[in-house]
Amino acid sequence: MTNWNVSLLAPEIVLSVCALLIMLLDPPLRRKRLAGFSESVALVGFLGALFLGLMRIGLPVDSSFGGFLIADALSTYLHILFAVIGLSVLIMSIPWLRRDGVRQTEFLVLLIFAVIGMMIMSCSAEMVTMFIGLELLSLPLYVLAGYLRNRERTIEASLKYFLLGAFASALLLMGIALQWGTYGTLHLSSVAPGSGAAPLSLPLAAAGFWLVVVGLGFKVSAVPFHFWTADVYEGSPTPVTALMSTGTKAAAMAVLLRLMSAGFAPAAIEWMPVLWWLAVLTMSVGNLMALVQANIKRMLAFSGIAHAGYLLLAICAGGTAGNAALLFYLAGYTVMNLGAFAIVGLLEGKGERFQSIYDYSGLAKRNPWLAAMMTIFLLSLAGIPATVGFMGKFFIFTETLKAGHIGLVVIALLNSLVSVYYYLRVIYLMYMKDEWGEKPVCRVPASVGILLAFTTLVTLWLGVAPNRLLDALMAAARIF
Amino acid sequence: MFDYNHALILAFMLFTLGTAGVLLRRSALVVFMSIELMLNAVNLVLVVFSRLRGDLDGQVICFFIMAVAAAEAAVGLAIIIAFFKRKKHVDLDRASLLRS
Amino acid sequence: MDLYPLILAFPLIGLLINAVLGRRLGVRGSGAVASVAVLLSFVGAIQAFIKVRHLVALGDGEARLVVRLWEWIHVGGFSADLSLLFDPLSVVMILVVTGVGFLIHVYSIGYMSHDRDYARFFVYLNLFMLAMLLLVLGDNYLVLFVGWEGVGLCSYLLIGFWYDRMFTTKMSNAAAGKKAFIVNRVGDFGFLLALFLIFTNFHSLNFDTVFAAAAHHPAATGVMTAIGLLLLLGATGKSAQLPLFVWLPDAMAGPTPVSALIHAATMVTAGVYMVARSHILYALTPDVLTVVAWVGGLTAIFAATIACTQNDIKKVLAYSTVSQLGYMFLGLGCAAFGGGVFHVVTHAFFKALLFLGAGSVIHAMSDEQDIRRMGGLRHKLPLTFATFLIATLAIAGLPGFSGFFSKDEILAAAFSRQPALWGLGVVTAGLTSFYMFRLMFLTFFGKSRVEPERAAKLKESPPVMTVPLLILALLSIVGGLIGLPPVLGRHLLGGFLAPVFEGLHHIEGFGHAEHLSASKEWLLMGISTVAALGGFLLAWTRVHKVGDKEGLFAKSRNGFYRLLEDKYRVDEVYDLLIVRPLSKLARFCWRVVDELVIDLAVNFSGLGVRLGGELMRLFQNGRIQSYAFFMVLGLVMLLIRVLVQQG
Repeated sequence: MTNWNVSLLAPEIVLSVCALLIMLLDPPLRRKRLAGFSESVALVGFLGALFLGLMRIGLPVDSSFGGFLIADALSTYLHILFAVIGLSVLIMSIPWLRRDGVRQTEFLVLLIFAVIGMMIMSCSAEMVTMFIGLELLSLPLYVLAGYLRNRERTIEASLKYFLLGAFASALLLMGIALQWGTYGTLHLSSVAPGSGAAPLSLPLAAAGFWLVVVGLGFKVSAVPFHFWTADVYEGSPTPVTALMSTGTKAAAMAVLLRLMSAGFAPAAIEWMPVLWWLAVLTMSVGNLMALVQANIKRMLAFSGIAHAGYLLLAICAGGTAGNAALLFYLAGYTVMNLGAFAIVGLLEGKGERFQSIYDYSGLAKRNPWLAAMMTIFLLSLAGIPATVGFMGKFFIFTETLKAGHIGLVVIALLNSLVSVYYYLRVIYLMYMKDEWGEKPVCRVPASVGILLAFTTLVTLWLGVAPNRLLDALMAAARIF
Repeated sequence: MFDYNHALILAFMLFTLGTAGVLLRRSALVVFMSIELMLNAVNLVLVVFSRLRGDLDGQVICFFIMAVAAAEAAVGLAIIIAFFKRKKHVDLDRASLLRS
Repeated sequence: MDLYPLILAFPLIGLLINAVLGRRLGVRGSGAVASVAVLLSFVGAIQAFIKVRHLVALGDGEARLVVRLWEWIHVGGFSADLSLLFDPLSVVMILVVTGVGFLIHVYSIGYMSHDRDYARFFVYLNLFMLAMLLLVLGDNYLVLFVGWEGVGLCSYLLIGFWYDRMFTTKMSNAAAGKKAFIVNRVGDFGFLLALFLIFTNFHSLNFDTVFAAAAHHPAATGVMTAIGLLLLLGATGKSAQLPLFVWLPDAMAGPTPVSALIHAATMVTAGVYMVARSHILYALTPDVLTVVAWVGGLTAIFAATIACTQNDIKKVLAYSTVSQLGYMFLGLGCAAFGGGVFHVVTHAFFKALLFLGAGSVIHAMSDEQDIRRMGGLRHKLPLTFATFLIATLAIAGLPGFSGFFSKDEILAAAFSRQPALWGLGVVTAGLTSFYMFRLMFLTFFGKSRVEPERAAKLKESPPVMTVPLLILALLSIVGGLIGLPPVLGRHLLGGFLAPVFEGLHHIEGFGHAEHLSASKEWLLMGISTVAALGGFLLAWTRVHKVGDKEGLFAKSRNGFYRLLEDKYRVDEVYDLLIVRPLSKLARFCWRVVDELVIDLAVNFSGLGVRLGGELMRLFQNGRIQSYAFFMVLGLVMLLIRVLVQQG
């Protein structure tokens, strides 16, 4: 029986309507000097999506569109997360758009569509829908990455992201085609129906599976599919980087999670060793590369890669608690990264000049509050206790240990040991070095101030009181 | 008599050819065309399997892929043009400003 | 009103006030806020002490108060609460931490009066108190770890406090801070691994649960050994033991009150506390306990020899701290858990006093730290001199002073367990006495070698600094009375702590140190007294010799020269047989082991990591197609794997 319950898509619909409204009404209104219209509509859209996401908490599992979409606790959680990400990126981008005098209509529309893509990915129960979501997320991001198309670096970042992204999509599609060819179904929860054999027993199916993993690994920037990350993060406008590093990663990671812990769970014995290596490589390469970066966005890019490695660890851990740990870490990672990128965006100044970590020298004297908050985000990324970063790592590592991967945990611990060094270097520069060249005191717009206060508080709060979120996530972690 | 294996092999050859194009050609435009070639190889695989299984779903997926490929082409060509406008070339070997 | 449940709140409030208003309050106001916050915590600690003592006196075995503050983590089968555990062990620790901490806070008001960043200083100091109390009071390993990392962070911030100064010509203060933090992370790595192992084996991190489970159903021997060794690794990091002690001497870059509070009296004893807290786990693995003892004993003698050759007043004290911490581990390793804690207490008194006295000297000398440019200071700084002398007598272990009793208890335990360890301890005691009196003589006695412009400004420190000195001096004298050896009276501290270590009696095969007979005990006390006196005499004669060579100390030479003329030969022999080899050994330890081997190892691993990063950077060449190539390479490897497995 087919269920066509449209209400499952309510957040996406609200956002789409807002995007359309902006596209239709902005040009005539702009002529009448009604500035701020598009921003307000986008704001309303994200708040509406957030509200609708929150309303769905606790509702029973439902599916719609012939089972193509699924509304379970996981998708609800991710909808809320993506609405928060969209909202934060919107808040970050408004001062940036004004500062650099960039056209904002298209930017906002593309931002909204990218978030819709993430949402669709998170509630897709089937691979083609997932692919549509992925493209809906990627296409606007290609454009957003090169939004300042007159800048050499930006447009190069855009081209790189586009070509490599399209290439990865092609690989992913071939994977999907092979899956469909061998099993005749693409439902994430029921590949290989009826056949008693392990899902990956056929070579073509196995090849298809790995192609899908590569396609998703590209998006989560797992090593060795990560090379685009640093270049694109560096070249893109900072709010876009924030969106890529949090939203894209979360969406792709969620799909990977569904894939591994639902349909392909029986084949764990096949993919576990590979994932083990992927996790090790991703953590280690990310951390080692971050050590030698002098550009803060590149450093955060590689730190993001390392964190993707920790997330892969959680997939290796598996089980409800392991999944919950992953989702918890995702929330923590999102919050601290959004905060860090918001500060980077504030400090880089017009034309994005101040992106070297040495530009952070003496920040504590110029902007003590910004420096203090940046310190909290960096400590959290480094996994120092009383922050969400520590809690998240703690949960993931314990679950991984429980699953018996002792070696993996040892490597992860060594990695987080190394990572302290480069996070600490920025703190050291901020507090223990004098200014390096003349820097203007950075003025913090109220909206960004609220965003920063919020992310700081959540970073600390989840580090001190992770219970409620974790309990809620235990429900989201039961994946069918 | 239609041999499914031959069709599949053709598709894989196209796919490999596309991959090789992505890896080896210097022009961004040709690389992009190679990616399109890979997508078409995917379509071929889907159509072959669709016929093999007697299930039309595969062909429906084809349409999705074509639509997505069209959108990708629009965005991609725009990006390549913007790149060309700024740099007066589309040579990928010379697009390495961003690096470690 | 009961203040002890709020013990954490006071430093928190203090630091918040100072963070927001500190600049406007002025150094006195800001310092007063911070000090009052700690004072209130101290009052809370006293209240807790009275309550717990009452419970101990009742003697029903459950001498503990638990204050549940916060339901921290409850997920799946795992739970950790933010609960404060007030049992005799933690109460003793918080009394020391808040008591000594309060005095050092007060002292800092004077010491930091010329510094423009005083508000930041007091914020860090209160933050440290908060983290330290959390460390000691947590009722599970996770809270302990949070405090553990917190104190490490504060230590890092405070070592680098004067970030714009250079610590040595080669090393900036900030770099010293970073070294401390990173070396500590190596220890933390071990600690975290140990926590994970504990959790996977006993399904909890709560002290009670873990110890009960371990005592009744211990895990495999290998696992228990690993847990013990990894915890020890964590402890060697924080408590500056071999091989991770290298950060502590460099940590002296921080302001002197910080050295007193964090790097002498409190934070560095966290490792001792942690091992004492985990005594059940160690009792179950006697071999690991032996390792603890040897690590402690070797560190003690190793650091003591180095201290003999240093000329920076704070460096001498730093190595001395390492050496004394070694004693504590020696005590723990000989199953004298109470003895180790006893030495923590007395050491907190006299070492804080020494550092604060050194701070007073440095303050008066306008930031001069080299004892070769001091001398004769006892006339100018009488109060500082008197208190410093008391502390020296205490640390040297002269009978009657606090250090004597605690050291004696540890040595007695070592004697009954392993005479070789006892030998190490006695030699160290002699060395301790030697380097402390050497420091004493060079700083306060003899002729002044102070540069004239510094000498002009030389004056005794203000009362806000000297009153804490006097209080600590009093404690250094009488502090030992809480732990008299059996032949002299009652061991009050031992009796108080007994319920904590009660569980040890139920562990099979855990040999307790047999009680020494009274005569043996007297003998041991005599030997350590002789060692202390020997060190003193050696220092005395050494100072002579220096004076002889360089024409310094002429006055003291006149005073003692004739008196000791006959013994001059002995001095030569001492010099030839003991001092020279020792100084050579010390130089060897310092130059070769410390500077070469350990620094190189630290730098080398750093370099290796960096090289790895640089190597990988080559792949990140900015070219799209090489990126695509690596993607395809990864994919091809995956496909080959499929073919190999299935074909």
